Amino acid sequence: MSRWGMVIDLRKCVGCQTCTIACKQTNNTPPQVFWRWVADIETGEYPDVNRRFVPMGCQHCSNPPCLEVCPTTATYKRPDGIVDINYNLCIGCAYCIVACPYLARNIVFETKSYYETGLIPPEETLAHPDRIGVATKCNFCLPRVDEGLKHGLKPGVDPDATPMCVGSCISNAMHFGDLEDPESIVSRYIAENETVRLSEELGTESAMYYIVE
Amino acid sequence: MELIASQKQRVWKMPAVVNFTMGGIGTGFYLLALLVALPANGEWLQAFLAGQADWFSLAFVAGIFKLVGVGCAGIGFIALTTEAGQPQRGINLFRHLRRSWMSRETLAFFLFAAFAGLDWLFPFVALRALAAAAAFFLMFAQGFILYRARGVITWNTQRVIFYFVTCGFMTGAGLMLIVFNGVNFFTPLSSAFSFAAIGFAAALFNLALWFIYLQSNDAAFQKATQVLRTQKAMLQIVGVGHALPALLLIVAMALGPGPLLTPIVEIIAGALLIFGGARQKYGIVLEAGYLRAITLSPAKFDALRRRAKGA
Repeated sequence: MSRWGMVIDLRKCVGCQTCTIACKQTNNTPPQVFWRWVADIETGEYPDVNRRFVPMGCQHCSNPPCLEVCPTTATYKRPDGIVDINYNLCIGCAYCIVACPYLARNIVFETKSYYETGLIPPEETLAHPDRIGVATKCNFCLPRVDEGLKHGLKPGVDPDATPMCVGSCISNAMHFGDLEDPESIVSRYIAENETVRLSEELGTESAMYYIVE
Repeated sequence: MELIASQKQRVWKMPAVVNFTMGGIGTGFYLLALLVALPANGEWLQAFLAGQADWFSLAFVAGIFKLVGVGCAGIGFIALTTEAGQPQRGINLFRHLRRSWMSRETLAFFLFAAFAGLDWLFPFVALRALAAAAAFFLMFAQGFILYRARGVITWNTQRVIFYFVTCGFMTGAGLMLIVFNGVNFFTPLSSAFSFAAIGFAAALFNLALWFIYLQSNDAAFQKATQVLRTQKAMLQIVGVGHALPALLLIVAMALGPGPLLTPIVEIIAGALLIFGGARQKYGIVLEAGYLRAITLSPAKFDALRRRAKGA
């Protein structure tokens, strides 16, 4: 069985936010909701300081705190490790949002436009009424992954079966693939580099690995 | 190394505070009233067991005892419907009893309401015992809800569970002082001393648990709860919410049962105890509800940097 995950090479990330915009465009997320975002961080102490860009989002944990607390089972983990939300079950209690230690989840209570004039026709067409009043988050572009697999494509290798953030990355800093497959690109990156995961002390066993130095 | 600094949670607002406060008041009231009623007052016990119907003095008071607690907890649940995005799907709350404390809290409330309601209609001691068990579980469940919210540093501590239990008893004692002293104006039923002593003890226990809750070696926890240690917060929580009512209850105990003064003093003390508990929960949920900072393991990060520099 596959276990989808990501490796992000922070040495290569230039903080261009292309992944952020690609995600917004693909998933039609409303204003102020970001399933993928890039943190702009200063590390170290003067004069030995560094500026780092860290792509953030749902970590698709093996031991997801959001899943345990969800009272409706709307949040569920697929056998391939992707943590997803069944919008039809979610009551929008936001318990998962306060349980997630990665700021990965959002909730909006009304359809909002990017413009002061109200929804413009493309926004109306692309609106997702099923996502109003429920928790939402990154799902590793699950429809693309599933559709790609159906057509015999390989996620992480074939762009059409790969999350849009990864496919759009201009510096080739983001990689997606099967963590269980030792030949996958992500497994190779993990084998060949020292990687870290966010807030590892919480024991969430995130599926997002970062190459720092 | 801290990548993203801790920030305040903004999704659980006043309705959550109302739910936690009213849940504590309702369950604490029910359990304490049950404890007081059983040993302290033979006529109540007889009335509860036999379902006697002297409507005002006994059945009415028994009805209050049985339903006020449920009503309070119910107000908390109703408040939550104003915060949830899709409250009409509330039935789904029962789908994750195996792991989610919010599911368990919901079940506990409905069992509490069902057993207390049945006991009101068909007085029977077993129903009362079941309602009490459900109320106690509900009190714990609300503490566990915060404890399992792992993203919030000030909630994700076992200390919050025990604090919630003592706060439930304290605010429940506050309501008990108000309700039963109010009833006593019309129909003296019991010794005012026992209510005052219970309120006093509950305030002391809660204050002790409050300070234990605030104790932590975790710098992030200390920083997030700083707002609860300010002079103003201390004055409101410790001074107005605990010390003042405790003093009033000592006065009430010194005065002994009386027709007017003692009940008034106890009612004021009860209201202050409720204020104290509500103020604490407001502080925990809204003022000190800080999400964890997102970190990279400092040791690992430094080692990688050193190695990279050496290379």
